[in-house]
Amino acid sequence: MESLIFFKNFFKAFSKVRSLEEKMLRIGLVLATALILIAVLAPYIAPYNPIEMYIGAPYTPPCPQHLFGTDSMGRDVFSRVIYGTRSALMVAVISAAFAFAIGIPLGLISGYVGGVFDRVVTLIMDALYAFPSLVMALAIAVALNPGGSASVFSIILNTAIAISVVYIPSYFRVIRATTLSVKENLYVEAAKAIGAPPFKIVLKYIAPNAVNPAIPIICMNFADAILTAAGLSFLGIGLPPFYPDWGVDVSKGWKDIPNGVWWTSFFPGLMIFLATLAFMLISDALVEYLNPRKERLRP
Amino acid sequence: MYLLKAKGIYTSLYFLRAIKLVKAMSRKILIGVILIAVIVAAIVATFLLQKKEKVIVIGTTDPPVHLDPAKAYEFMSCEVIYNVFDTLVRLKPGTLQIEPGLAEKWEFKDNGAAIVFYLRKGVKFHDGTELTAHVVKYSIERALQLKGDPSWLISEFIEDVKVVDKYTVEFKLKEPFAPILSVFTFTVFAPVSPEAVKKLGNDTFDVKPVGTGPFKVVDFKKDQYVILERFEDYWDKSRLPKLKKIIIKIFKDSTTLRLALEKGEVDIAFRHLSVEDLQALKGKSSIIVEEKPSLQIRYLVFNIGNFTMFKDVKVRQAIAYAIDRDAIVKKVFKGAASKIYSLVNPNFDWCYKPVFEKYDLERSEALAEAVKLLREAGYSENKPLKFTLWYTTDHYGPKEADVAQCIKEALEETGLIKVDLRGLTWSEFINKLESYEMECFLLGWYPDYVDPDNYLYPFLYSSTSGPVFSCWYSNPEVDQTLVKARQTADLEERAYYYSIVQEYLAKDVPYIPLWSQNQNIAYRNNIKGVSLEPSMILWFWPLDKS
Amino acid sequence: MSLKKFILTRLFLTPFMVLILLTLVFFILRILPGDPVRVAVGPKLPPEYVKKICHELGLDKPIIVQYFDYLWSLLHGDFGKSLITRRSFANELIDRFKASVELAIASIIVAIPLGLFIGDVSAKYEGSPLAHLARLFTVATYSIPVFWLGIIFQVVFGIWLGILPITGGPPPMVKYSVRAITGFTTLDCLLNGDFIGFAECIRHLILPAVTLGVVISGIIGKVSRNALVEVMHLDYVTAAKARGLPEKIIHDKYIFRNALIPIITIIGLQLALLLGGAILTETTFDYPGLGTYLKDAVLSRDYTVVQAAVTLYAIMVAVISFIVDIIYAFLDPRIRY
Repeated sequence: MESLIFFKNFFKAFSKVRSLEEKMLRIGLVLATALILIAVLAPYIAPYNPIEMYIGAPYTPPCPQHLFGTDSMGRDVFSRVIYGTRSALMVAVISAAFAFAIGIPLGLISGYVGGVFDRVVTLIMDALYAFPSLVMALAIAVALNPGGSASVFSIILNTAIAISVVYIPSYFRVIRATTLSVKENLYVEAAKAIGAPPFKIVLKYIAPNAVNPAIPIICMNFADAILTAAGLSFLGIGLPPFYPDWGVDVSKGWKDIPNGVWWTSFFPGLMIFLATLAFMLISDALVEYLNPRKERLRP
Repeated sequence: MYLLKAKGIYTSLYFLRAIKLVKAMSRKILIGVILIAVIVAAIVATFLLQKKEKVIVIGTTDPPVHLDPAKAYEFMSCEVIYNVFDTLVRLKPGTLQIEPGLAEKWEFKDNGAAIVFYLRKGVKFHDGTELTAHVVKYSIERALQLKGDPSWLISEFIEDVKVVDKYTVEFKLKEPFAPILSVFTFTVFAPVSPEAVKKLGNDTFDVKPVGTGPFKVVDFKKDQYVILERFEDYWDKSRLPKLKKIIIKIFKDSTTLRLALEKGEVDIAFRHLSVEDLQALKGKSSIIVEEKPSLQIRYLVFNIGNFTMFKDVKVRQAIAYAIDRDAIVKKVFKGAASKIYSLVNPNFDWCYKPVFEKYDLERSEALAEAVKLLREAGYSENKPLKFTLWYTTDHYGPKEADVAQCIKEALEETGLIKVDLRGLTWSEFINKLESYEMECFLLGWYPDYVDPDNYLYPFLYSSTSGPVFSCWYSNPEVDQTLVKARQTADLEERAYYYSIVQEYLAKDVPYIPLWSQNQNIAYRNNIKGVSLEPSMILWFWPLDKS
Repeated sequence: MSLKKFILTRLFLTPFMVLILLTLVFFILRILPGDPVRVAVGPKLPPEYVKKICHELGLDKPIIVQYFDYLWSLLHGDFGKSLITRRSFANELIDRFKASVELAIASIIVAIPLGLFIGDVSAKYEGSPLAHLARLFTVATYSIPVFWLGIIFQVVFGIWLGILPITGGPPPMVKYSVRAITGFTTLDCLLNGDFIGFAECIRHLILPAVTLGVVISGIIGKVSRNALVEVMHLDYVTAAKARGLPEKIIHDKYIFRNALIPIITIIGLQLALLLGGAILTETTFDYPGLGTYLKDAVLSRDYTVVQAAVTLYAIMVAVISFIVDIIYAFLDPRIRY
């Protein structure tokens, strides 16, 4: 039922632009859709091979042939930025999938079962939650990929796993809280009284209620994953240097700035910003939407 | 509410609200302005009141790790140690020749199987301890016992150390070894103060070492800085430092270092300015850039022992033809490197033979030769030669991936080769190297002792070529010649032996020597006494600031 | 549950939280393939040296034994020896930690006024363009890559204007010449009366602190806005308004004070995040803090150092969240577990 309201609000965002939240949501959705399209259609959008050297003269400033200029090895920055969308979104999707798949069942079970199990899991999750995510991601990324010998895909996978570990507690907390409050509802009590198996109760009566609060977290997870992945590759842990990736490109491109070459780091950085912004806007707006207080606030 | 209003009123209301807001905030703004003013005043004050002590700051991106000669093996660690310690014999400035150091003179005994050093008298350590033969013996034994990274240089060549009298010490060698004196110039042979070791303990000595050199270490913070101070009682008055203090500051990357140099926060940028930064600095009038060939060699290794495709010499030769050194040197390094045609570094002009020049043909010709050889080896467009080229991402600077990409492109130009690139961190690279899992990889070499022997023997001698480089090259003729070259002191004879070995190298192609990156240094024009040595050591004592 | 009981329970749980994180980190780092020592000592050494080093560092024992050894030595404040330098590194670690704390405090000083201001504006003038701007600012700060922002600051203030140094951290001469009293160089300069050194330290702190501060101010702004809005619509505020109290008094006395609780909490949480999130800032500005220390250790695969640094983070996080919870409980009598 609640999800119905959510979808109603969701579509309202497109009918009439009213509040700031709606504007934010719209901008976010447009940006996110554009990003996904770019990632899928990268080979058709990018004019050149992103890793081929000497496509243009090194350090060509932005011009019609090279929209974002070229880097020190004459690679096309625009093509690299376009292809970079792929690894960024891949990390985001995979990490969200992992965190979702682990955090939500854990939250449901822990909330429903309660007792010692709940205590222990909550303690672990609290510890993880407060822990600086980049530190944890750093440790996990290194442990999973000690020498960087892995292929590009498994590096992406490892980074995603590292990020998802950090994000599991976020899902867990919200879902557990929802479960705790839903559990007290009469219809759950009724189902219990009839003798429905716990498995069925959780799946049928509790889980649907957990969907709503999880949605903003997914978006936040997306945003954070993009940011953390970029941060990891900025630190030099992650993708190999020639591979088109925003974080790698910013850390390499920064070296060109003193020579007056700003485009090699500016555009990849801008893309990280926009991609994160897109999902943050959606998440921020959704939180407001799903917050019942909002209704009261409307003038 | 405002949403319902007409657009015009709506906008003007916006402005009205904004003005009201600014008024309301004026007190806060005032506080903000005062705060900013204080900060600006503080900044200006520091500019005006800066202390004008004459200090030279040397910036580097290559952090020293150990300052104890018994443990130091990395370049920058040794660099500091060369300025803080002395060795028995040392390299003459501007050359690769040996000159007396702590030992006034020396003589060989038993057909070169032993060597006697006569120490200088009255040499004092920074803590006042006197240098004697006992100290020399103690230092060598200590290094052996600590088993630091460089200790193999002692155990490999030295059988025994004997104190003859207070100022005479005799080293017994395992077997006669022609380049032994250049081995003695390495930092691991530098005498350390036994008193200081006793007082500080090995761990602290590693951070606050006590030597006999022109500088003493007053503060060392790993990955941050080293502060050196002049040692007033230094025995070699011709090498007394001009300045009282030298600071070595460690930077995380070349760009930060270069900016610090431009702003004058750093006086000298030594080691690992990037090619791009060097080029940019060359245009600045306040900065002097010097470049010179270095002792480094960079090369490609084939794992002949474990991979069948490289067992065929034709394949190796074809790759030697197809590789484009010009592209690497000009495109990737933009001229800051030189092509090399042998494993021996060109600095050793008395024995360097550019044997690989025959493979470096006009591009179309070279490709034709490569294609011919590959076809003979049984490869075709439908069945290309496929292999992985491994390289390390973090050990040889930021250009490594670009070099690998460049080699891949050159080889694939033949149409018969398909190269897969794999970049590893240095640690993983070492692991793979030692388990012999890589078929073809890029590696580099700095000599442990400055002699051509160190450029050929480890690479080509059958018992080291496999375990160390996972190349598994073995040729009895080469083995014999290498051993002969070790045993004669006569330079001409040695040059002859090395020419034979190098011919074999070019014929069998177990390695392909590619390039040698130039050493460079950039400094502000008020700094005097900077000189790039062929040995790549930067001496701090002549440095001065005007 | 009484306050006392709550504090005691919380106190009891804190070591467990640390233990959980420690255990997690220890095992994550030890499931590695490959031999960390082999990797650290390089290729030229014969295997028996490696064995000796392994033995010295206790790495040849079964992993469970190593785990308890590790816990035991930690209890004694011993972090072990670095794999790379094979020296004990506790001093370095503490030194770097202090530098990080300095940066954290400096950026909190930037972040709190900025964050509160932004939250205040967007709550007070809800619906106005200024509030919208403030809202967008909070979202933007959260989305902007810290390192990218840092680079922009470096370019503008360090390269174009040339008024601030692009690297952070006190200059070596200042650090060396000032007598260490607290170990916090900036504070030491002040205590020693070395005002030039102090100004130098501040000059080097400004850019990293502002970068980090701006990013954090966004989150503080967001939380304080929500808190303020929440309070603003409570009945007693409406009542106060109805009574015709001046807006300023309502805002300062009725709203702001009551919104402080969640704001303080988020500032406390941010402090923990600060210490971790600062890795990127420290790297961008080459600041010699715990973040760069951890990063260098990770890059050189110095596992003992990585472990120790992460452990330090874990302890800090646990302690800070403990303190925050206690403050929270004191401030809001309704909150009990």
